[in-house]
Amino acid sequence: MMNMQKEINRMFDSFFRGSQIEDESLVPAAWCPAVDIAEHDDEFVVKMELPGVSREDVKITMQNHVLLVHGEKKQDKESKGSNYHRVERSYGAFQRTFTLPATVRSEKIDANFADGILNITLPKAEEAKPERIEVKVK
Amino acid sequence: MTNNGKQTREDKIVTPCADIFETPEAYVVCLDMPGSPKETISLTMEKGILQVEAAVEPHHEETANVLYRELRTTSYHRAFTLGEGVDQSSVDAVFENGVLTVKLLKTPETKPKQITIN
Repeated sequence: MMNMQKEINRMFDSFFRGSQIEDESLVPAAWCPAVDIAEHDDEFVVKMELPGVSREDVKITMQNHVLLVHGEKKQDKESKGSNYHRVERSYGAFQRTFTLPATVRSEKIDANFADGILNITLPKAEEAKPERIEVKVK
Repeated sequence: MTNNGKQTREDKIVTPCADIFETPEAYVVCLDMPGSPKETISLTMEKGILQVEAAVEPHHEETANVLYRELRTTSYHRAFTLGEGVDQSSVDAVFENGVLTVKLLKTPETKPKQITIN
């Protein structure tokens, strides 16, 4: 039973491992935002830390079961040309890709921003939701 | 994948990344603090030390099976020792898109002065 659990976990890990997609329009990433992926009964949820990134600067696309999140963190206008004492925050282009299970309903993907965290919800298709059947013992 | 679907959340206090820059009127500190609601942020000024503290709400419900986890911060904490040239009575802070921006006005003595040539 433990082995089976491990095997399933391994399968999921490979589902979500970022895959390389060839796209010349993408600029090399300057930094890499942290991500969490969680599974619920009816959906997958991807959470990404994007502090200081505005809504307009994030693009989310889904193609061949590969979810691509990319964008740019721009420096504030006010700070440009100012006298800097310290720069620890990362700026520039970022991108992350995730290969998702075929059971995700691409047309129902939703995303929102809250306190610098991007929330992407990916609903599962009906047939992929866990089914609970009670078996009566005679 | 050892959590068997349960959330394990150990305390992880993070020093938020900061940018500090200077304008003619003020010093500005920008801190990346994603995931902490505005209400949990505490900003205090005492004896020339500016302290920032904030809590990060759990990212997932307890029933969720977290398959992959990089977001581990449970709280933020950072302190800055301020120099003489800061007017400690006028601190202004804004929290937007997970970034806390603190503006510390300079004392009149530290502001650049224009000297007129006779």
